[in-house]
Order: sequence, then C-alpha cells, then structure tokens
Amino acid sequence: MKKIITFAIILLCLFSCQRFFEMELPDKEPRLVVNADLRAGEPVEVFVSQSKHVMEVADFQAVDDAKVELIEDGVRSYELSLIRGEENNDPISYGSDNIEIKPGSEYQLIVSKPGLPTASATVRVPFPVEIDNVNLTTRIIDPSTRATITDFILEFEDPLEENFYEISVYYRGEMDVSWRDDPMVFEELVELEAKNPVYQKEYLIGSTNLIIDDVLFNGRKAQIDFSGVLMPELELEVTITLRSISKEYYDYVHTLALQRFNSQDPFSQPVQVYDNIVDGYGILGASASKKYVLTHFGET
Amino acid sequence: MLRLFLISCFILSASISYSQNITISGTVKSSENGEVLIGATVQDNISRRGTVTNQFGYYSFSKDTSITSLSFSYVGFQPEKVEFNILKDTVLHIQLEPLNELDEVIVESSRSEPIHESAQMGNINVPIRQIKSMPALMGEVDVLKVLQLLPGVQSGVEGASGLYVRGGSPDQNLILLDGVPVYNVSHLFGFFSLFNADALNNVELVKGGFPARYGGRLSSVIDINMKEGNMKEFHGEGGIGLVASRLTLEGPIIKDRTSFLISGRRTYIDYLAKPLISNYSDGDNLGYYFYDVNAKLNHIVNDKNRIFFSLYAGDDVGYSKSDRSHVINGETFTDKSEFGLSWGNLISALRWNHVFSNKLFGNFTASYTKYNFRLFNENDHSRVGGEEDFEDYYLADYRSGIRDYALKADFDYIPNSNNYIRFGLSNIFHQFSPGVFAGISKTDTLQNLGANQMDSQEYAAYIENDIAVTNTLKFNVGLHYSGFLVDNQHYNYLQPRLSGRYMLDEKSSIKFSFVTMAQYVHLLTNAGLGLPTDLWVPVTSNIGPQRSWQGSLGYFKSLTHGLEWSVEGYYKDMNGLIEYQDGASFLHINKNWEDLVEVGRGRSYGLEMFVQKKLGKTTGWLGYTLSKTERKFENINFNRWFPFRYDRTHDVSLTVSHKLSSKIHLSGTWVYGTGNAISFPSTIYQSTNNPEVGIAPGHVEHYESRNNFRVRDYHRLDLGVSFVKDTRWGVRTWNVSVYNAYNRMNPFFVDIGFNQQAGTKMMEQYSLFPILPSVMYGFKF
Repeated sequence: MKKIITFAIILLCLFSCQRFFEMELPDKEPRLVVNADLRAGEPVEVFVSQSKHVMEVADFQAVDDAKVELIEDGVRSYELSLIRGEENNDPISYGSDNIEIKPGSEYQLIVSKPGLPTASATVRVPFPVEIDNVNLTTRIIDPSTRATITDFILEFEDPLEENFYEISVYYRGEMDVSWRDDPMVFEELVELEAKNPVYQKEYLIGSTNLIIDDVLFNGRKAQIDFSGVLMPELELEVTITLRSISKEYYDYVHTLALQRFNSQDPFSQPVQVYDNIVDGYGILGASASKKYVLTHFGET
Repeated sequence: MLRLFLISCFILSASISYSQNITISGTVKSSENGEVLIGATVQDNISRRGTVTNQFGYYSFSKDTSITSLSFSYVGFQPEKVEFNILKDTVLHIQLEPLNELDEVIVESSRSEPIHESAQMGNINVPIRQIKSMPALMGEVDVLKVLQLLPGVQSGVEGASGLYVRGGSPDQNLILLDGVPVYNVSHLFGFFSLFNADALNNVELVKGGFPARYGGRLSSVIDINMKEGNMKEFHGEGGIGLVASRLTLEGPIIKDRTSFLISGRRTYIDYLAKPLISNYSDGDNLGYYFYDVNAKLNHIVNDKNRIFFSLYAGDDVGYSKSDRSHVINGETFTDKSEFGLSWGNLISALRWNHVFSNKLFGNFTASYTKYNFRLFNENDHSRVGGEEDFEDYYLADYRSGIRDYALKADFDYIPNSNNYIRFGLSNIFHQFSPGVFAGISKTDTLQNLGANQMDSQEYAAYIENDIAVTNTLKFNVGLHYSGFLVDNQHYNYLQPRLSGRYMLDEKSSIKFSFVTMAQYVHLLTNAGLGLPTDLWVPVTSNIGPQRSWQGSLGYFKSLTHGLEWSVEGYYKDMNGLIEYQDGASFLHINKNWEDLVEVGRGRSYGLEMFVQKKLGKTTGWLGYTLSKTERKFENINFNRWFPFRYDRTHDVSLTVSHKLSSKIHLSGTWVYGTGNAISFPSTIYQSTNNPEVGIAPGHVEHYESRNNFRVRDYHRLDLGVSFVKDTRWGVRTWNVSVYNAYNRMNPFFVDIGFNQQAGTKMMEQYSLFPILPSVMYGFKF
C-alpha cells in the first residue's frame, strides 16, 4: 500500500506540470494600412503602410508605390503624390496642397497597390463650432512653492446632431532676460484635466488634449470645466482650440488608447481598436476647428 | 402583475374536475436503509395511469374504482405489485428491495418513469451509483463533471467543474443542495466540485422545460439531494485517494425513527508536499488544502410529520508564511510576511414535511447560506539595534461574500389522477458584499475601497399543474411570479411555463415546451475558471435582471433492454446579460463593478441527441450536441454578434460502465468538443501618431472580433477499473483510473511567446493535464 501511494504521488508530481508547445496560426494576407485625419483648412496628409501577421516584428515602412485618390462629394477627384523626407528621401506620406478640405463635405479615400486589395474609406467633415466664451482663473495650489493651476470654463452651443470634440490649449509668452538680446519665448501645449470624471478617462491621462462627446449636453449650451498649468507671472497669449472631430476618429482614439493602457495587464479584457478602412486597416478621420485667443496674466 | 398571477392561479385550479375518488398515498423507500426513493413510479395497472414520488418519496394517487392493482418501481430495485380492494382513502407505505447484480440484468421492468411518458422535457436524472462508477480525475468522483457529459451541457476549460448549459453561463445554473441555492460550487480553483458523492442520494438536471416551482436562474436547475441516513443499521463508506480521503458514517439514532449522516473529506497535498516545498522555498511554510463536511439529521415525528436538518460546511485555504531575521553589524533585520487565500460555503437547512391530508403534502424550509472569500497579504519589516530603529507594516485585505436567509413553503396537491398541482412561496433576504478592500499601513489606513454591502429581498410564488388531458396528451402548465427589491427599485416578472407530451404509441412521444425565466443576480467573471475572485452581485437600479425565453421540441422513444433515446431542438434568447467592458480588469478593485460591465443579449440554439442504457451489465450513454451560442453588447465588438467563449459547435460524450463480473467493473468516458473561442489578435499595423491625445508612435493589435479564434479541439479518454471484494467487515474496492489515457495535449490557455532560437514570436499553447493515472482505495461496511 505504502509503495503504491509513494509511486502514485511521484507520478502525479511528474505529470501535473504545465506544458506548452508552439501552435500554428492561420496565415493572414497583408493589407493596406491607411491613416489620415482630414482637417478643414489644412493640407491633406495620408500615411500608407502594410499590415503584418501578429507573429511578425512590428517594424513598418511607408508604402511608396501606392495610388492614393481622394474624391470630394463623389464628384471631384484628386490624386495625391508621394512625399519624401528631406533628410534621407524616405517615403513618408501622400499629400497635396491643391485640395481644400471643406466642412460638411464627404470625402472618399481610395488607396491601391499592386498585389494587395484596394482599401477605401469615407468620412464627412464636421462643421466647426464657435467658442462663445472662455473664462480663466488662476489659483495657488501650494503656497510654499507658489505653484498655480488655471481653471478653464469653455462655453459653446452644441449643434443638435451627435458631435465629438477635441479641446486643446496652447500658450505663448515672451520674457526679457538679461543674458539674451532677444526675449525668451515660453510656449507649450497644456496638459488638461477635465473636472467631470466622465471626460477624464484614466487611459487618456497624460495626454494634453481632451476628447469628449456631447451626450451630457446634446443640442444645448455646453460648459466644459477643466484645468491645466500655465506659465505663472507672465503675460501669455492663450489659444483655446475647439476641434469638431468625426465619430470615427473619436472611436479610434479611445479604443487605441485603451488597448495601449491595458497592454501589460494579463487579466484585462481584450480591446478591439475601431477602424473604418474597407479591405484594409487604419482610420480616416476628419475635423474642423475654431480658435479662441485671449491674453492672460498668470497671477492671482 | 400580482393580480394577473392570482387570476391565472384561479384559472389553473378551475381546470380540475372534481369527482368522487379513492386516494392511496404514502411513501416509497428502500427496504435496505429506509432511504426515500425520489422519482419512483407508481402505476395503476388497470387504468395505466400513474404518478411518481416527490423529493421526499411521497406519492398520492386517486382512482374511481375500489379494485386496485398498483405497481411500484425504481431503477435498481425489485418492482412491487400490490392488489387489493379498497372502499376509502388509504395510506400505503412501500419498501422496495434492492436488486442484486444478477437480478439487475434480468429484470427490465424495474425502472423509473420512462423517458417518453413524462410531460417534462430537458431533464435528466443521473443515478449516484452511475456517477460513482465513472473514471475520476485524481480519483475524486465529481458530480458536476459527470453532468458535463450530458448533451446540452458544456464544460469550461480543462479540469474545471463549471457548467455551461445551452449557451448559458455558470451563474445561470440554480444549484440546489437539499433545496438551498449554492453560489460557489468549486474546490481547488474549480477542479473539484464541493459535492461529495458519498453523501448524495439523487441528482437531477433540468435544462429546458422548467416547471414553475423552479426560478431565479436562466439556464438550468441542478437539484441535488443529500442522503437522509440509514434508518435500519449503522453503516460507513469512504475512500483513500491520492489527493484526498473521505469518510461517511450513517445510521439510526432511534431505529426507523431518527437517523443521522455525517460525511467528511479533506485533501492532504499540503502535508505530503510540505518537506518538498520547505526545501525549495528556503524554509517558508506554504500550502493549500480543502475540506468539506456534510451532515444530516432526519426524524420521523409520526406518519404525518417529518423533520430534516442538513448542513454543509467547506473551505479552501491557501497560505504562505515566512519569518526571517538576520543580524548585520549588530542590527537585527526582521522580515515577516503572510499571504492567505480562502473561500468557503456554509449551507444549513431545516425542513419540515407535513401531510395535511392524503391529497395535500407540504414542505417548509428555513435556510441560511454563507459564502465568503478573503485574500490578504500582511508584511512586517523591522530594523532594531542600530542608530535608529525602523518598523514598517502593511496589510492589504480583500473580502467579498454573500449571506442568504430564506424561508420557503412548497405544497403538493393531488386532487385526482389527472391533476398534480404544486404551489408555493419563498422569500430570500440577500446580503451581498461585492468586494471590499482594506489597506492598513503604519502611517495610513484605507478602508472600504470598492462596493459597500447591499441588502436585497427576493420573493417568489408559483403554481403548476400536471394535467393528463387524455391517456396520450399531458401538459405541465404553470406560472412563476418573482420579484426583487434593491436600491429602492422593485423588479418583478410573471413567468409562464408550459410543457406538453403527446404519446405517438406506447413507446414513443413528442414533447414541447416554452418557458420564460428571470434572474436577479449576476456573476462577474473574466477568467471562466470558476476562480473564487468571481463576484456575485445583485441587480441594482443601474444593472437590471437577466431574462430569457426558451422553446424546445423533441422526440423521445423507449426501446427494449432499458435503452432510451431522444432528440431535442431548442432556441434560447437571453437579455440583461453582463460582460466586462473592453479593457476592464478584475484588478480594478478601486472601481465600482457597475462601471466595468456592459449589458447585452445572448442567443443559443441547437440540437441534442441522447441514447442511454440504464439496465444490464453494460450501462452508459452517448450524447451529441450541435449548437451555436452568441452574445451582443452595444460597446463590445462594435455592437455585432460574437461567439460566446464556450460556444461549442460539436460536443460528443460517450460513457460506458461494464460489469465484467461481480468483482471487476470497467468504465470509460470519451469526450470531444470544438475548441473554445478566445480573443486573439491576427494582425498588427501601424497606428497614427497623436501624442497630444496620448497616442505615441506604435502599432495596433487587430482582433477580427471578440472571441475570434478557436483553440484546438478538445478530446480526452478516461478509463477506470474497479476491483471489488467482499470481506468479513464489508466491501473493499481498489479503483484504478487513467485520466486522459492517450495523453492528448488539450489547451488550457494560449499566449504569444518568443522563440529564442529562431528569434521570432510564436503562439504557445499551455496544457494542464497530460495522462494522469490515479488509484483510490474504497471501503464500505
């Protein structure tokens, strides 16, 4: 009896270990990857590359032999040309200075390359929304260091349909210093933190811009409270940008940021990144922005 | 809603035609030990009508003639025929003789209600002796693992005892132990269930056509009854296995009046491995064990009253302790740490059976259930004897649990042989503690991070009637009304139930059913392993109940030699299901669970074929399920349907037990299932570069959909042989079994790894159990 139990325990110990072996994954044909954000009033820039099998190394090169065509409202067609880097002549993107992206227009992007399925996507450029008012208040948060924080209240009228926005704050100020002939320039894109936790996603903490939807104020006057750190005790030109972004771009940014945020957590649920490229991967987004500029002296 | 329920009850009752009948009632028991026989058939040989005994072995049968010829039968027992003339209502208690090995082969009529005769569909009764005869993982017989072998029931991952019934989740199974719901049914992270087969009397699975007496879960009812204890003689049985041993004792306290049963089980891997672990862990003390105890007291007060008290207590405990100190330059450094993981159930029930009349039987239950989970880590570091003493202390403590206080009254009213009415009421007071984290350090105390305790009331009322319209047409029609009060919110639903049977001939029938169900509790899980970290949570004002409807249609046929076969098709639609959001992790303990989940729909449809042989030297079954199960959530998979993780297109199970002789019993099980669906990226591609919104240059891992990838198909053969010998003191058994006999590397989980030699990434599959022999010594006296 004793011998049998001893033998059985040894067997159990031997066999109960984890074992693993390599598995075959089905082949996945490469497809075109198209990333572009059509911004009203700005030049068009389309990044084209190729996807890879998940087991390959994530090293991507821009495609230099693609045909990239942009069609406006189904009527006017533009062919984009390859843009190379100035230093090493490497392909970077496709673009054109002849196209003026118009708010409200629908754009279809068609990208083809021999040997790969033709990728396409369609997006409508949102209309920009005027900023009615921005209120700034700077307060000291640590008297010992005189560190300050600036609270912003951004107000605008949200149109009736479903809308998405990206809010950014940029400041620029000059200071005369004794060791330079010309004034020293301080400029920065401010890291913003929304007061409403609905807008402050943990996976977007650390980003400068706020990306929000209009679920809480659809079709009404919007008042967005947020804060950021400005250069203190200096007269600054503060530019607040309210960019109306397409839903496609909003979904893409949120899902991609969440996937990155959870990449090291083995217990998290997988995150699918939104894409809107037919027969390809990537994102075709669109946006239109309005700016609001004011002068602010960061002293309480 | 309540008014509608009451009106419906009246209509149900009004359908009964009253006539002058003579009623015969009583109990059917085993003559060997006085144990009641649940589901024994009572048949009138003249009218060919009959009934079956209820969960307490009670029957009542009414007839309109004084000439009586009744047959009583039950699987594994010699049938009893009683003929007499009666002029008034009569009480008739029957004791059936167990068959010996030889009789069992010859006598074919000794069976329970044939598969084609019952109006109920989607239910399977698995005899405990069949469960115990099957090969077992590490020698431990597991009731739930046997149920996984039935058509329409899928297992989760390798070795786990979770049940996925007709596309449902494990939380949608109402698992009753002596009528009391059990929440966490797992030992050892799901590899063993907490039901000790030696202490059980009966196991019934209902997966469709739910009678109205059951409610509160969407997908199945697993009704498990403990033995009552031998009323005649003192007996014991047990087993010594590789990982655990068990012992059951039962006997009369007062012969034929009061009996007891006590059964215990404990693993001892922690003791056996202690020297090995201590050696490898530098003197640390770590280990794991589980134990469980079942106990029951059964007292017959008189012919009309009977009292039962049943108790289950069990715990799983994992621990690690270390205590180290050393001296450097006169300074003493001490480092103490303790890690603990424990979870366990306490289930107790007091039941009173009362025979109000020969037509009305009542059962009253008061129960208390507790499930607790605790995970803690305590660290104490100190430095003494130097220039400056230093001490640092930290305790992280995470607890969750549920307490239920329940009252229930169930009645069986049998006015005549054409109607069998059941009705009842129940109320459960739930106290949920869905995950509370407390952190204590030398300088700081952080408590109650996570959700607070939530109190809620769940109530239910039901009425159902088994109506024999003609000899060929029979219905079970019922209503289940239930409600839930939580957070000043009152959910309540009326759930109609209908099932019917039409006999095509003496041996075959067509059955159909339509049921609606509501469920007021959810299980938050993201591993599918039945981990104790899974959280039971009630519905809230934000997250509503789960609801479903299910329709099924089937053909049932009884053949000769105890052979039965059936084919059933079903469609089930579920809503109110919850699922963790994309990116949610159960490590997010600082968040309210309601913020981590999505609410959505599910659907499942399939075809189940089942052939079972209950009698003879060779018994067993062959089951095949062809099915599809999907889920849909607004913010998961972009609001598109995706496969349920345990969607299994093909599922086959074959079990065979063969008595080679009275001393050697052989058994085998073979299972095959389509691989589980998991989420796995197929492609990577370059992302945009938007540092201003937190997106640095990098790549996207592209998933075709949630659960887009199928791991390898699962199949496994288990074999067992038992050598039985009669001894002076009783019976001893040597059981040798081999789990995964042909050493199939079945997937447990898959991951992306790196091949150092080739310098490339690769997909790795981890397997848990290769061929695993085990031996168990059993005894019975």
